Amino acid sequence: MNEPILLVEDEENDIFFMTDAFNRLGIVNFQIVTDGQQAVDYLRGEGKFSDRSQFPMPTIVLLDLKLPFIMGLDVLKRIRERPGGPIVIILSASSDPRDISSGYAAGANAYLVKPSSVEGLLNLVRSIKDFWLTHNVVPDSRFASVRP
Amino acid sequence: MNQGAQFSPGNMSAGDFQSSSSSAGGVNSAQERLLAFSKLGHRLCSARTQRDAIKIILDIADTFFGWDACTFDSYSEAEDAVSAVIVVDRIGDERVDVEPVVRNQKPTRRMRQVIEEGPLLILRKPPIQMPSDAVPMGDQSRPSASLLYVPVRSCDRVIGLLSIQSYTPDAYSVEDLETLQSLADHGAGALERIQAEEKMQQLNRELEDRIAERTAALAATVGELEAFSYSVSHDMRAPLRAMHGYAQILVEQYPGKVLDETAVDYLSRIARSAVRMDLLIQDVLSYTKVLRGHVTLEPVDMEGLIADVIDAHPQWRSSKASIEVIGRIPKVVGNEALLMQCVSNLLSNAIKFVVAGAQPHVKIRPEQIGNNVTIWFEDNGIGIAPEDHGRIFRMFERIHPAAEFEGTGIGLTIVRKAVERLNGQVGFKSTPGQGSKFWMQLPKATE
Repeated sequence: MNEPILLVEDEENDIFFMTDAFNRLGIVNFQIVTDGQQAVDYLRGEGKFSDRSQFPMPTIVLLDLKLPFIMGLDVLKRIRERPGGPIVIILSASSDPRDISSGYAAGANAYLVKPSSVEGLLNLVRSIKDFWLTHNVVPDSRFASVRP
Repeated sequence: MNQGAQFSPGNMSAGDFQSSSSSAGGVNSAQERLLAFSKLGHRLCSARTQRDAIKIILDIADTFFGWDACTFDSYSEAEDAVSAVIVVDRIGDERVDVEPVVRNQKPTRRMRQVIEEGPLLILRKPPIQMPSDAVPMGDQSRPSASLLYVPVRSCDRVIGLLSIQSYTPDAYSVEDLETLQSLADHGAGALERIQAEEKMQQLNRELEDRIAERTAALAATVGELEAFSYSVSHDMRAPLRAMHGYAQILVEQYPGKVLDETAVDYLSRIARSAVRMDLLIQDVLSYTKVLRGHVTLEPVDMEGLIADVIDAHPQWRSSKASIEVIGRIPKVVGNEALLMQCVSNLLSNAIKFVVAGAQPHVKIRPEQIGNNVTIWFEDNGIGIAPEDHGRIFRMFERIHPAAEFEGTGIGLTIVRKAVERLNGQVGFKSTPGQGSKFWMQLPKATE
C-alpha cells in the first residue's frame, strides 16, 4: 500500500487534481516530475534525483504522453530498455487508438484516459489504488533478471 | 528540308512487310486484287495504331505493285502541318524502318500539290537528280524513279499523305495510282477511328492524372484536418477539465469557508458550461470519426447491438424510460461502431424530447421491404413541427433552447452521415404532440 508512485505530468491543473485525489484517498508516498527529461533522470537516479532515500525508485509510474523535452512514449521506451523496471500506467487525455496501441506496444501495463470531471478522476485514482496498490503483486527487483 | 535522315537498323523488322521479290510489278491479277480488297476492311478493323493501319495498306500495295520505299505522313488541316508516321526504305537488299524526322512541319511543295490537287504519279527519266525539297530517307544517294503520291481523305478532308516509290523507272501506271488511291480511301476510315481512339485515350490519361493529382491533394488536406481536429479537441478539453474541476472543488471543499447560495449557483453554472462544452467537443470528434474513419461493411446483429446500447446507458433506466423491441430484427449489412452511434443518438433523442415529467416510451419496430430492413424508433415525445422538418439533420441546429433540452445539435447530423456511409437512408415522420417516428433503412444481410 505504501509503494512509491512517480507522477509524470506537465499540466499544472492536472497536477493539482491528481494531488488533490491522492490526498483525499490517503496516498502519501508520491513524487512529481513535470517533463520527460526529469522522468528519465529520476528513474536513473541522476542529477538532483541521486539521493534514493529522498527520491525512492517508484513501483508505479503514472505517465502522461504529451510531455516537454522527452515525450511520454520515449520515456517508456527507455524504461523498458532494461528488465525489472516499474509498472507504467499511461494517463493521457488521448483516446486515439494509435496512441493506445503504441503505448501498449512500448510496454505500458495499463492505459487510462483522463476523465473530464473531478469525481471521474477521483474514481480513477481510487481504482488505481485498489488494483495496483492493494491487489496487484509486484516482482522483487532482485529477481528482475530471472527469466521463466 | 534536308535535316540529315537518321536511320536506325535497330528498327528494322523483317516481319513488318512481306518483302516482294522484285521492286515492282507484284500481283496484278484482277481477281487477286479484288480478294485483297475484300479482306481489307476486316484487317483494318483490327488495327489499333495508325502505323498498324498504314502497314496493312502498304502491305497490300506491295503485293499489288511493289515498292522500294514508302512514307506516310499524317496531316493536320487546322495546323497545316505534317508529321511522318512511317518511313521505310530499301538499303541494299533489305527494307529498313527509318526513324521519322518530320514532325509538325509545313508540307513541302509536292505535298501541298497532293493535298490541294489530289493523287500524283511521277515518273522520272534518267539521269535522275535528287529533288531539292525531297524529304530525306534511308538511302539518300538514290532518288526515286517512280512515285505514287496520294492524299488520304476522310469526308473531303485530307488527314494524311501516302507515297510509295520505286527505284525502277516507269514502275507504276495511272491505274496503279487509282488503285493506291482507293486503298488509301479504305484506310482513311480506320485511321480516323484510330485517331479518335488515341485522342480519347489521351484525354482519359489526362483526366486520370488530374484525378490522381486532386485525390492526392485532398488526401493531404484531409490528413491535415484530421491532425488539426485531433489536437484541437484534446488541447481544448484540458482547460475545460480544469474549469470544471476547480468549480467543483470550490463548491465541495473550499477550505474553511462556506459559500453562499449565489456563489454555489454561479460555480455550478461554470461547471455545467464546461460539461456542455466538453460534450460539444466530443460530438464534433465523433462526427469527424464518422466522416472519415475507416468503415468495413459486415453483417450486424441489430438486436444484440440495441441491447448493448441500452445497457451502456443506465441513465435511461433511471429516467424510467421504457424501450420495447417489437418483433425480430433481421441482421443488416453495416458497421457495428457506426450503428451503435446511430442507435444511441436516436434513442437518446427519443427519450430526451418528452414533455417535462412524462415517462418516455420508445418502440423499436423492424420492417422488411425487399432486400432492405427499415428500423423504426417510435417515441411518445413532443414531436417536431412541420416548419422544423428541414432543419433537424443539419449540424448545430437546435429547435429547442438548451435550457429546456440538453444537447449539442450534432446527434442527428452524425446519424445521417453514418447511415450514408453505410449505404442506407434515414428519415422521420412526426406530428407535434404525437411523438416522432425516426427510421433507418439498411441492406438486409443474408443469413
